[in-house]
Amino acid sequence: MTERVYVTGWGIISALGNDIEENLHALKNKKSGISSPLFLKTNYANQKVVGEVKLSNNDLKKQLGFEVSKTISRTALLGMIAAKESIRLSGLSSNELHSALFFNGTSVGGMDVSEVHYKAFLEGEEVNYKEAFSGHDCGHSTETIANYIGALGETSTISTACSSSANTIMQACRTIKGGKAEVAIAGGTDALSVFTLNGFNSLKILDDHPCKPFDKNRKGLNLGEGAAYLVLESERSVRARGANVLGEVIGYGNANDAYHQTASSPQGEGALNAMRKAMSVADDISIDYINVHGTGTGNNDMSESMAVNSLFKENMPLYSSTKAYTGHTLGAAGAIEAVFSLLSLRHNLLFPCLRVDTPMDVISQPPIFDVVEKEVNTVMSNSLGFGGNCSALIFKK
Amino acid sequence: MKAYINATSSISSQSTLNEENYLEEWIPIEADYHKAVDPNYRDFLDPKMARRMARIIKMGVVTSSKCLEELQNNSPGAIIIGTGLGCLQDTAKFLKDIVETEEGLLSPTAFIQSTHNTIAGQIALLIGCTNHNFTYANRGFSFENALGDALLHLEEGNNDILVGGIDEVIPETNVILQKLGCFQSDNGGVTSSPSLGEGATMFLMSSHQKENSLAVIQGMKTLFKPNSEEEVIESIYGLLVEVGVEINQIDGVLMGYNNSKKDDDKYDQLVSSIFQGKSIYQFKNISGEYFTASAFGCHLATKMIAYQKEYPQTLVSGDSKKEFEYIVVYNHFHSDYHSVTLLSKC
Repeated sequence: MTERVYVTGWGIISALGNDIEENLHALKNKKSGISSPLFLKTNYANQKVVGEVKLSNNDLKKQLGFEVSKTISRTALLGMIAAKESIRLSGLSSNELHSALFFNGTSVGGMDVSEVHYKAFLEGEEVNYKEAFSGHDCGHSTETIANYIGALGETSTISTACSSSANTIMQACRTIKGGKAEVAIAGGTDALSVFTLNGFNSLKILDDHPCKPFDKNRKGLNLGEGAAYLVLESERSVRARGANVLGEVIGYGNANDAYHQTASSPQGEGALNAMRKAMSVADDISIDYINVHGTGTGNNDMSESMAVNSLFKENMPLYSSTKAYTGHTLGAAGAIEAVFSLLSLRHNLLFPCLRVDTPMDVISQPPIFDVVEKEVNTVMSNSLGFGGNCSALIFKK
Repeated sequence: MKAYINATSSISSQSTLNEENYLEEWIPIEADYHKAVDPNYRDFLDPKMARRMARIIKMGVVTSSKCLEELQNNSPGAIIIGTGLGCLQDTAKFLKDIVETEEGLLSPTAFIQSTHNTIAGQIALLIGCTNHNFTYANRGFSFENALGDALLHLEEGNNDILVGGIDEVIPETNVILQKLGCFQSDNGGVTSSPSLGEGATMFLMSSHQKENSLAVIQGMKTLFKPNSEEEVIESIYGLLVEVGVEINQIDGVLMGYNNSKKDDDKYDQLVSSIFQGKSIYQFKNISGEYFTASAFGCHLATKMIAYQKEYPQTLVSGDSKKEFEYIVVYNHFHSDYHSVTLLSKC
């Protein structure tokens, strides 16, 4: 279990842009991607704001070389865009890819397609079943992306709500450390859907305006969409092919809050346990910055603040949530924020909480409100979800 | 890494939940799919909970609590669930609510219970288990991903891992899956029962033998989109070599025959090659076909090894057997997702 795991490729698509460079540019310039939905067909289009990817399904299909008439879920389309970039930047050959493992995280899979046809189905109208429903299950998105990029080693799909793709990165690292693989692609994807928008709305945790995590007067979260993947490699594989290293995954931890199906415990015990486990795997290395989960709901930001307070006490690192930029991208959030964490390490830049007027005062110091230029060697990234699923990852330069 | 199975529990279309009458009588299948026999959930859950919880969650909670009876502190080192389609009942309900109200004022209850990880989350919540908690939803590898994760945990030094595979059928998906031709029989197979099924199967595993250990998982291999039958055979041999077992030591093979000619042909090919002359058993005439049906295959193999017996209506070809040292469970979904698991006596 001494094998080290390096990041040698990355790819992303989010409301901030369609690749790594565009995301970095928006982050540096404090340009949020939150807006009224352009593509999501919902009755709430005039009332809710979302972190939507600024490309239509047809644009995405054209970029990927598909016929626009082909039915493919937006979840799979976003996944293919980001996975393709991660492979391109990793320099992996198609031969090396053939035996690579693919770990994908998603919460709703092809829901964006099936929900459109479900009304017709319920009303007994004619439905093209294959187009409507064959891509519904989470594993179908994984299969589609794995086929597209040619990663045929083995697939794995984790669906642990908002921590799905943090868990795929953890799982890929454990698999490589356990000597079961040399190369793995891990991350996740989720498209906006009417299902999730109405779900979060029914829970009354959506802010109708652009969200402001860690503000005392925060009203809730904005939903977002996107995908991100990391190429993870063993030390041996990195050496053998002279791969370019972007960073190292040195810690990971998963724990269950065991408190409530959707709400976090007041003291954030699940988050605390996950962070503790990650710190223990990372030999209690000093953390320079935390990309917190920070959704912008009253419950999450309070509970997570209590947890980081208990762990770091007076040695609180700098921290912020980047969800004011992207919205909460659910199953993709862990991977998207892993890419942001690696951007912080690569560029010595920390990206701030946006729109905070009155910062919460639970933690002794407020989050960062502006882009900070600073030597960054270690970053922790948190992902907390429904079902009490809490995860923490630690990245090192 | 060997994994000792210290408990297993399953809800299927037959009497598999209780030890006393385990597979003693054949229950005729009346639905057009292998409908799992619901226990009286109030025997296991308080009535309020039994009423509120979705059926798939109840199946998961009951089978896991049966397994956890074997664990003194009631706290597994990890809870890992595989489910191909997740919590369909609540997903369908919430979708219906959205359609009927045209995105109106909705109760969040169905949405809350609709996420795939609700099953593992509810199990953790009920027993207050804050340990590692994962859910896999990966087509024909949903249970295999979970089992692979469990084996990795044991290798890492974690112990008493609760792992299982669960899927449910609801009327809506029954129709949709039929229209898609997914999990359907075409009467070309070895039995004449329907194909689609559902159920919950859980295991409790440790890295060391315990007094109550029933069987051992010697190893498991998955193969995604193999190019040829040779590749499948190579993979099975690969597993045997890895654990140092010869093909002639295998006493029985549990095959995922599902009553669809295209799928069953693949099993027949192996019966006439690598498994020639072996006692061949089926398990999907009990479980039916679904994304996590292979969990039931491993469950039945565990029972065969633990009680050294074969169960009625499962022998497909070869000699009837009374002793089982090694059993192979082999399954594939649509020829794309292949898995082979080797179990043995403790």
